[in-house]
Amino acid sequence: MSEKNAVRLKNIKKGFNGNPVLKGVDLNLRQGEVLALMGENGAGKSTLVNILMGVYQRDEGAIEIDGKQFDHYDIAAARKNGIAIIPQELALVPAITVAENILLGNRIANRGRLIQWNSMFKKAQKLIDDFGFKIDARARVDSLPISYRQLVCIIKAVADESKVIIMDEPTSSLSKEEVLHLHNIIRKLKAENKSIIYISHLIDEIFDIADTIMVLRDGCFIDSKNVNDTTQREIVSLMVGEELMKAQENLRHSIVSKEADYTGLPPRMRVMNFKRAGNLKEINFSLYPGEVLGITGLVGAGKSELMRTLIGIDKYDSGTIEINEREVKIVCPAAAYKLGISSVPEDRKLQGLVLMGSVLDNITLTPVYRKTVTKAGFLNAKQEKKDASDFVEKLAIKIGGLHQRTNRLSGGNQQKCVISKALLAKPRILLLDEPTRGIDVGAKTLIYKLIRELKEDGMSIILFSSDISEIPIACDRVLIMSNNTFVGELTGKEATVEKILNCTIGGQSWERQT
Amino acid sequence: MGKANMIIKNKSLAGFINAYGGLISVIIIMMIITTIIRPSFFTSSNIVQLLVNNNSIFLTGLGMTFVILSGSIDLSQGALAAFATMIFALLVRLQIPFPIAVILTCAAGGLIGILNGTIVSKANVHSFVVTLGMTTVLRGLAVAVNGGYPIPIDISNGWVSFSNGRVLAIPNVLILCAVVFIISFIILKRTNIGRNIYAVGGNQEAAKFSGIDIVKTTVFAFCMSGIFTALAGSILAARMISGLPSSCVGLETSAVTAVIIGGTSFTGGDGSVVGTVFGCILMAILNNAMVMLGIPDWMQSVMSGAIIIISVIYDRLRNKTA
Repeated sequence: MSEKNAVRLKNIKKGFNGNPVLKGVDLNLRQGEVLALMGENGAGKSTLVNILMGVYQRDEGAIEIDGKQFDHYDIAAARKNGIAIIPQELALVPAITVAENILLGNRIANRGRLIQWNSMFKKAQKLIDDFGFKIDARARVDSLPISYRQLVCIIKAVADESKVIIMDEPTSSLSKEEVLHLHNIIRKLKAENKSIIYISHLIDEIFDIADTIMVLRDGCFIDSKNVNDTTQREIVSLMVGEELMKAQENLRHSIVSKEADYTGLPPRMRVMNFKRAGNLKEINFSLYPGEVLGITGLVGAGKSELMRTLIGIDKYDSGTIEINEREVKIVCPAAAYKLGISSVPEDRKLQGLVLMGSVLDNITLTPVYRKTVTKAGFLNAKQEKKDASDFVEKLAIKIGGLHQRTNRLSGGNQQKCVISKALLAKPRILLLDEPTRGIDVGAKTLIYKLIRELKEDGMSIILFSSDISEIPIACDRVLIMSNNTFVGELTGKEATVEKILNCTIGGQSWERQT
Repeated sequence: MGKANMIIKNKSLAGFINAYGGLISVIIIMMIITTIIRPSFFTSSNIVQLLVNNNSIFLTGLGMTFVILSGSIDLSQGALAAFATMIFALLVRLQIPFPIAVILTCAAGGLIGILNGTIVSKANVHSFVVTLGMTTVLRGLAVAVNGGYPIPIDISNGWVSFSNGRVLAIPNVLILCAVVFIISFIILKRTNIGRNIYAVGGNQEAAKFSGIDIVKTTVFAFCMSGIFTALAGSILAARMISGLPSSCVGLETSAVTAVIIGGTSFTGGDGSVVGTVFGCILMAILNNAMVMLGIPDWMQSVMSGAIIIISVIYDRLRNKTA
């Protein structure tokens, strides 16, 4: 590692819609350094690297690359100065070959300006082989699985002779061997004096590869530690903050101390011999009044698919769903809402919100709710506003006004809008699919508290989550899913992170995802 | 970016000016320039007449607003309007009283719209393709009604006198347009189905997850387009005193232009019929001004086309900043 700075960011400030996302962050990256950028979701990591990539323009602050100051800084400037980010799937053109993608900026042509395909394939294949990946340079990118596309991105970044490579969750879709491989590549790049900014949630991985760990929380620079001078515990406490850590511990404490007993009670929802369309595995479970049931498992274990089927987005082949001991058919989300089942889908931007719509429009979106405020065919705008404001206040949604569009709200505030929408339909059963993905710690903790409050009011909740650390804080009981079926069940104080981990099968370790 | 006032929409005057101020200024500037060159432009009779003459664009534009807001497009409007002139003329020739003939014609238009919407949403085919196909079908049917010949309408027919008549100096056609506008405005602003149109056009996935019926919403939007287009066809038939199978070529283009100029997002989910009204007024004035200024036909066509493209680019840029 040299003492020369590759990148220096000073006092970077950035806000969207007047909501500050970065509140004056400094970053120093030396040549040949691997800097791990850590922080809970919503801490501002991605905004910071997007500013360095020139995707967002900073509101304030200085950007310095190789000692050179930039006034105007955009994507072109970032590229020109050797800054690259992976994975950036958009950087790949799906319908052309791997080789052409890797050499997109410098195709090999002869004097007559005709492309020399053979040399291109050879050169690209050599780059791929150097990395030790088994990818055919002649394959079309869209024929590759996602994890391979990520690898292609890495090779492309190196082929472009980038000096600084930002790796944003580079291992999220890689297998264990591929991760080890990636780390070897990073060490190789380091030896070539290239600098890496490494973003990951997986603290083991960070301690394995990083030189320096920089922690952000809620848009502020918290601390920067040499990896040899710190511990995992210290980093977590820096990331979450003492107060919220305590709040979460209290929630856990209340679950452990007051374990609920549902034996003999009629279940509010019972799913029996349930098979999703095209899936051979059967699913059975019951959900009791006032119970928070966690369903967890790896990405791809079938959690989201199960929820989609339960609310009628996807079809099921056989089996029955009973609500309050009466068999029901759920053929579409509208039917689910009518039965008192509200849902918060996995992807709030694609499935949860009408992004160009206002906060008000989004919170009052469900027809089930709107029917309650419709008289003679006309909506009661006053009542809608009042109900929406109530939720904005109750969930502490930070907005400029009810008419603000939802597209520039922070992840946490967007999610609160989606949850408000689901709750306004007055459900008895609430299905939450990854409700805390990509939102800040404060909002996360608020959602956990809300879940516990709703439970106290008698609502039944299913929390589908691949973030096991939140299961013990929010759930009374957890079902562990693998390969589209349940492989374990833990209740109350049994449901600890370690025990949930032990319940998994299939050779992949739990830390490999989230 | 960062300018909160660009994104926060509200009902106040400031919000209105923010949304339509640019459009209104363009309209005023155009009127001033034309008046300076041709003072006869700015007479109440000319202004009223140019609005009346463009009632088809106005009515189809309102229908198109529904469809575009829902995230689709209806290219079959021109052909449907021509077909509607034929249906109306045929019904009148069959001695059917004119109010019933108008209602039946609108019902036929509504049915065509329902068919369009059903194919688009149920079979999940892009509306562009479906309605393009429908255009050819309807042109064929319009010819089939009377073997390609126009059907004359008796000048003494009540609908003809209505369409050329006035109440308190206001042309009946304009009153009808105003009524259709108010109905559209209320449906889109204050009813469930209207709000669903915004949700479906804004994010179909989210709408589906929230329990909104995509098929019903899309079919409704196309149905409105069909009804309004057929109404425009009936009025046109009365004003031409005949059903004409080759009429209304390019009407859908004008309607799309008016909607887009009016600030409705081409991808759906954002916009309003108020914008469409200003879009239509701008188009009407532009057309009239170009005639009065003696600009040749081909130039008018080039300018109309350029306006569509410019407004779509403007729409893109605005979405980027918002």
